[in-house]
Amino acid sequence: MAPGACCVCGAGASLVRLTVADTVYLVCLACLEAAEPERLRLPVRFYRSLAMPMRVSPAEALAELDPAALCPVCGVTFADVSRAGLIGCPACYDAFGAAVSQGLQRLHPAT
Amino acid sequence: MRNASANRLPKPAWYRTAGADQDVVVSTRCRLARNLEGFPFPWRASSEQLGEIVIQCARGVAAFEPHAVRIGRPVADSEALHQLLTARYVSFKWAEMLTPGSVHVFPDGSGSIMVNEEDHLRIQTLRAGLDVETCLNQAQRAADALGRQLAIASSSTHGFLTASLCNTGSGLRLSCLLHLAALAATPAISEALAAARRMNCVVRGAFGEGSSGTGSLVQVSNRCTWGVGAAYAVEQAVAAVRYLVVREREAREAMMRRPGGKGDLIAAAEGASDLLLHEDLSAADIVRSLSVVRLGMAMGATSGTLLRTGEWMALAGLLLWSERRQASGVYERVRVQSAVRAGLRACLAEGSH
Ligand SMILES: [Zn+2]
Ligand SMILES: [Zn+2]
Repeated sequence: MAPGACCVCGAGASLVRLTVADTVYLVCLACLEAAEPERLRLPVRFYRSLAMPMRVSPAEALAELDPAALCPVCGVTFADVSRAGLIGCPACYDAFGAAVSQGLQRLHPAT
Repeated sequence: MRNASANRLPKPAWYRTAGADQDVVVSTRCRLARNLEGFPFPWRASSEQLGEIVIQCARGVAAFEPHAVRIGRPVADSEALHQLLTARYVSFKWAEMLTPGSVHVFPDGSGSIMVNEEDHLRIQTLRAGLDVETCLNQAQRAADALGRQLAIASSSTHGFLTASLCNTGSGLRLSCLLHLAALAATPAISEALAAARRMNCVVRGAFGEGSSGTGSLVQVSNRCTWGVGAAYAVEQAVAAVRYLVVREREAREAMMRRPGGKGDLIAAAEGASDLLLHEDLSAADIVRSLSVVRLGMAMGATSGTLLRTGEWMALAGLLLWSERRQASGVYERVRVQSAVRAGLRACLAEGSH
C-alpha cells in the first residue's frame, strides 16, 4: 500500500482503507471511532462493539471457620486457604469439611 | 527423558480439521482436572514434591501414550514456549510458573496433559468448530488411562478432589470460543449473553479475566462440576452455545439484508485486512481487525480459509498476554504480526485464483 494519511486528521498510523462508491478513503482508527461518517457506520460499529468490556464474576469466598484451623496432613491453615481461594491438599476436604461443603453448594447450583 | 525441542512438537489437530458450526464457533476445548493422592496441591507443594509429581506423571503418561512429546518447565527454548502457547497446549498460567512442571503433547496433536498447573494434572483436548463428542471422548480416554497408572485423589462424597472448589467433582470444563461479531454490534448482545448465563454457564471475554477489547470473542463454559447438576452441565453449556450460534446467525442475516449491508462488510473486511498487512498495530487492534476479517470470510464477503483464523486468534491472544506482562512487547508483537500477515497473504493468494 502506498504511504498515506488519514483524510480526517492527517495521521499516518493505523490507517483503514475504505472503498465507498469507487473512491478510496484512508481513515485512521481513532477518527473512524470518533467521526462515524454516515456511509461508514457499519465498519465503525464493528470496531466499537469489539471493544465492549465483559463483566467478570468475582471469586467466591469460603464460609467462615476458625482462621487458625489446621489441616493435619499438609499443615495449611484455614486463613491461608481463604486468602488463596484454593484448597491445600486432598485431606483438607475433610479438615475444613463444613466450609468446603458450603462452598461447593454455593459454587455448583443444581438447576 | 530429555526435553523435546520446538521442531518435535506435533501440529495441533485444530489447525487442520474442524467440527460443525465453524462460521460462529472458533473452537471447542475439554479439560479434566486430576490430582495425585498423597501430595499437596501445586501451590502448597515444595520444589522436591513438585519434582516427584513430574516423575510420577511422566511414568503414568508413558505407559499409555509412549509417543507423547514431553517438555519440561521452565521451558529453556523460547521458540518451544511460543509454539506451546499458540497451539494452546499449555495455559498462560502454566507458562508463567517457574516451578518444576511439564507438558505431554499427544502425538496426533489432539491435546496435551499439563503437569503442575493449578492441579497436578490438567488433561485437555481441542478441536476447531463445535465438536464436543470428540473432545470429551479423547480427554476421558486419557484420564481413564492415567487413572489406571496413578493413584488419583477422589472421595465418595465429592468425586475428584481439586485445588479449586470450582472444579471439584467431575473436574470437567467444556469451553467453546464463539465469534459473535454481528450480534455484538447490536444492543441484543447483552440480552443474549444474559440468557446464556441463565442456562447455568460461565460467559466471559475470550482472553481471560479482565480482558476487554475482545468483546465479540466470547467463551462459554459449564459452571457446575459437582453434585446433581454436574450430570447436565455439559448439555446446558452446549445448549447455550447452540442458542448463541442461532442468535449470531440471525444478526448476520439482518446485517446483510440492510441496504448496502454486504458492501459495508466488504469495505470493513478490506480495511481490516489492510491494517493487518501493513500497520504496526497494538494487540487489541489486531484482535479487532482479525474479528472483522473472520466475519467477512464467514459471510463470503472476503476470500480465505476460515479454519486458519483460529490460529491467528490464538496468536493475538498470546500477544495480549505478553503485552499485559509487559515482557519484550515489541519483539512479540512483530513476531505475531508477521505470522498473521503470512497467513493472511496466503489466504488472499488462494482466493485470487
Ligand atoms: Zn484520523
Ligand atoms: Zn491439607
